Amino acid sequence: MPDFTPTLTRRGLMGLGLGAVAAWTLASCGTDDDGGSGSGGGAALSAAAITLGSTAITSAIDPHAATSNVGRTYAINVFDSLVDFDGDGRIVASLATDWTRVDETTLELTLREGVTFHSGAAFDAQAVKANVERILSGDPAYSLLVGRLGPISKVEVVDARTVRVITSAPDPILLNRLTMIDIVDPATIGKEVTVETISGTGPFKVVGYKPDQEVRLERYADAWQPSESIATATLVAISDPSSLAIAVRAGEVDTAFGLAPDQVAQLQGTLDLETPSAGSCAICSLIPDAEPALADPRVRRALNMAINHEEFVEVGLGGYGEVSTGQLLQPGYLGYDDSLEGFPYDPDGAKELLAEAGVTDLELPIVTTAFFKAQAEIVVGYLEAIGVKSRVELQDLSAFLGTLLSKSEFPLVYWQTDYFDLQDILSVTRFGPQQPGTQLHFENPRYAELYQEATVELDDDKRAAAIKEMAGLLNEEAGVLFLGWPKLAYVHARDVDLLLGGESLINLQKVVRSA
Amino acid sequence: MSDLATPEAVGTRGPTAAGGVLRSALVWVLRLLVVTLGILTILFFLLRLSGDPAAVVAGAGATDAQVEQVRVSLGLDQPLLTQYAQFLADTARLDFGSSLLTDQPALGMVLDRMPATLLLAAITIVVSTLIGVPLGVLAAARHRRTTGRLLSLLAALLQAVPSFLLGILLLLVLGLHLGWLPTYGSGTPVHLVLPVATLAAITIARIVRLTRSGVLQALGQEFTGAALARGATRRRVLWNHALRNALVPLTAFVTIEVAHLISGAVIVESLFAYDGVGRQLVDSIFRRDYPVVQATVFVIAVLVVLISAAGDLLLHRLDPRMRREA
Repeated sequence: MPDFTPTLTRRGLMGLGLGAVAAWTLASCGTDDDGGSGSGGGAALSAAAITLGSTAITSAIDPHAATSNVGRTYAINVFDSLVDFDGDGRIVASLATDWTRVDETTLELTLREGVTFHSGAAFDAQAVKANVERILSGDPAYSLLVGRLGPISKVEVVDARTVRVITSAPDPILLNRLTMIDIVDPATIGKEVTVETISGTGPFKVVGYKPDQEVRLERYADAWQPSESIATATLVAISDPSSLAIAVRAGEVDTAFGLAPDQVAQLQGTLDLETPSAGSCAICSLIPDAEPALADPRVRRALNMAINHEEFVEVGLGGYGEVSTGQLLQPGYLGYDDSLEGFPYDPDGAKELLAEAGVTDLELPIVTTAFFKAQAEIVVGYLEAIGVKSRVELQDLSAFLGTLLSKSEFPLVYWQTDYFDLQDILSVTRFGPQQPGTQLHFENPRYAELYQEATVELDDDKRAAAIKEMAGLLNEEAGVLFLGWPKLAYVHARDVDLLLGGESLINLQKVVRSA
Repeated sequence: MSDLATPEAVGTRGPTAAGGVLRSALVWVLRLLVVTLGILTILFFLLRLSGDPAAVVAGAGATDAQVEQVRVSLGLDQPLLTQYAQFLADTARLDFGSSLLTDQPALGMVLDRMPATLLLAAITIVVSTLIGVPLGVLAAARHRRTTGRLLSLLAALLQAVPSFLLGILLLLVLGLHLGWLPTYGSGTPVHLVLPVATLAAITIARIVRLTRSGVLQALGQEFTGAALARGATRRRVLWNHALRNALVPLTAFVTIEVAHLISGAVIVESLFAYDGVGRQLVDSIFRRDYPVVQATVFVIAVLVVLISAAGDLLLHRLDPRMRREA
C-alpha cells in the first residue's frame, strides 16, 4: 500500500500477484459522464491544511518509478488513472468517461474533455499512449509496474479523445489494471523528474519533496475534480512508530498510518479511527516439498484446526482484522463463496487427525520476516499445543522474497497475500500455475487449471464460478493455513473527516476539515 | 606549548619538527586509506551476503525474468570479486553510483544530508562541553559534599539511560505534554533542541565524570599545593592549574566523542525524523540501497579519521610529552 502502510513491506511483500474484480461487467458498460464526485470548482474552496504521517513515503515522485506500493497515497492525489476503484471496489470513470470492448483483446476508451496537467498542458489520447509506451519500454525502473499490467501490449490513438488498449490475450481484469497507470504529463517523459517538472492531472500538485522525508502538495485549482476543503497537504515520513504516535498526539500530524495496534488503542481516546480492510489474507503456506507429511490433507486440516482464529485476530492482528471463512477473498470480491466455513478450533480433533495420519514427531519451523515475527510466534504456540514442534526462522526481506517466490527450505511460510491493488484473485499468483522449477505452494492441478481459466474468461458469471471452485478446493484440501483478514488502522484528528477511497487510500480531494 | 610558538624554538628544531609533522601527516593519510579501505571492504561483502537487492528493487510482484533483468542492470550478475574490483575503482573516483531507489547520485545524497548531521554533532559537543566541564569542576571541588555526590550520581544516571528512552521521554514531556517543542522534523533551530538534548545528555555525563576525575587527580598533586602555597586563590588553582591538567584527556575524549556523535546519530535522527545521514543510513540499509549505504559509510569513515587526526594534532599542541615522544 501507499505511503500509509507500515505494510510498506507488508503490502509490497504481499502484493504477490495480479488480480481481477467483478467490475468487468460494470466496466464494459462505462459510466459517470461528468466525473464522479468532482465539483468542477463551482463551490467555494477552503484553505485547510493537513499533515499525513506514516512510517515511509513514496520512494520517487515519478509514480511509474516507485519501487513499492508505499507511495500510492501520494500518487492518487497528484495523478489520475483512466479508471478508478470506488470505495466498494467497483470500477468508476476517471480520465476515461466511457469504455467498450471492441473485441476480446481490444478495449476502447473515451477520454474526459477539458482536463489539464499541472503544467497547463492538455490531457489527450497521445498522453495515454506516451505513458503506456514509457512503462512498457523495457526500462527496469518500471519493472514493478510492468508486472501489474499483465498482457497489456500497446495503446492505439483513435483520435484526440479516444484510445484503444490492446492486450496480447483476453484480459478480464484489464480495467483493474488500468487503475494502476498514473498518467503523467508526457512533456516530462525522458527528462529529469523534479518538483518543478513533475505534473499530473490530480487535485494536488507537488510543491516540495525531500526524499524519504516529506512531500508537500498544494491544491491544483484547475483540476477536473478539485479539492474543496484541503488546500495544502504534507506527507511526512516518521520511521519510528513511537515518534509518529507522539506527533499525532501532539497535533503535529493530523492523520497517521503505520502505528502498532497498542499505539492505535492508546490514541483512540482522543482521536478518531478508521479501519478499512487491508485487502489481504494472513496465511501460512504449507510446503509438501519441504515436509512430505504436508502432502496429506489430514495433516493440513489438523494444522488448520489447531488455530484459534478469533484469538489470532485479537492478539496477532491486534484486533484489526476479521476471522476468515476458510478462503482467501473477502465478501464483496468476485468469487467470494458465502457457503464456505472456516475451520473450527479443535486442538483435540487436530491431535486425533495427526494420529490417524500416522504422523509423529512432526517438526514444522515457520519462516517469515521480522515484520511478521509476532504473528508467526503465535502460530508456533498453536502448533506446539497439538504436539507439533515449531519455531520461527527470520529472514531478511530480500532473502524471504526468494524463499516465498522460488523455493522454501522451511515447511511453513508466514505471509499475507494481498489482492487490494487489482482487487481480484488473480493478484494471488502464488497458488496459480508456476514456472518450471518453482516450488508449488498448493499442488492441485485443477486449481491451476481454474486459475488459468480465470485469467482469460471474460464472462463474469463464469469467472465467479471458477473462482468459487478454486476457493472450495483450497478449503476442502486445507491447502493453506488460514489465519485472518487483516484491516488497516488510520488514526486522525477529530476535525478531519477522513473518507477513504478505493484501495483504502486517503483521497485528499474527498477529505473535509472543519474550520 | 609556548616554546613551539616562538621563532627561536622553530628555528632551533625546524628540520626535526618539520620532519615530524611530515611523518605524522603521512601516517594520518595511510591510516585514512587503510581504515577506509578496511571498512568499505567489510561493508561490501557483508551487504552482498545479506540478501539480493535485485529482488527488493524489482518488487514482490516481479517475475524471475524481471528480477534477473534488474540484477543485470545493477551489475549484480557479475562474479563477486569482479564487482569488488569495480567497486574499488569506482570508489577511487568517488563514484558510488546512483541510489537504487531514487536514481540520484549516492554521494550527492549523502553530502546533502551531512551538514545537518555535522550541525547536530557540533552543537551537541559545544553544549556538552559548556555544561559538562563546569559541572565536572564543581563536582571535583565539592566532591566530599552533597553537591558533588549528587552531580556524580546524576552523571552516572544519565550515562545509564539509553538514548532512545531518553529521547522518547523528552518527546513526551517537552513535545507532547508541554507542547514547547516540535516532535519531529528539522530545518529550524527549535527542531535541534530535542535531538541535541538527547545526544548531549550522555556526553555531558561523560565529560562531568572525566573532568571530575582529572581535576581531582590534579588537586592531589604537588604543583597545585605549591600554587596554593604561593598564594594563588583556590578558584585560580582549580580553574587555571587543575583544570588545565585535565584538559589533555578531556580533549582526547571530546575528539572521540565528535566522531562517535557523527556515526552514532542513527537512533536519535530516526527517533526525531531528523534530516541527517544517520536516518538516511538506516533507511538505506533496510531498503538494500547499496550505493547510498556505501557512500554514507565512506563519508563517515573519512570524517572520523580526519577528526581523529585533528584530535591528535591538538593533543600534540597541548601535551609536551607527546611532542617529545614524536
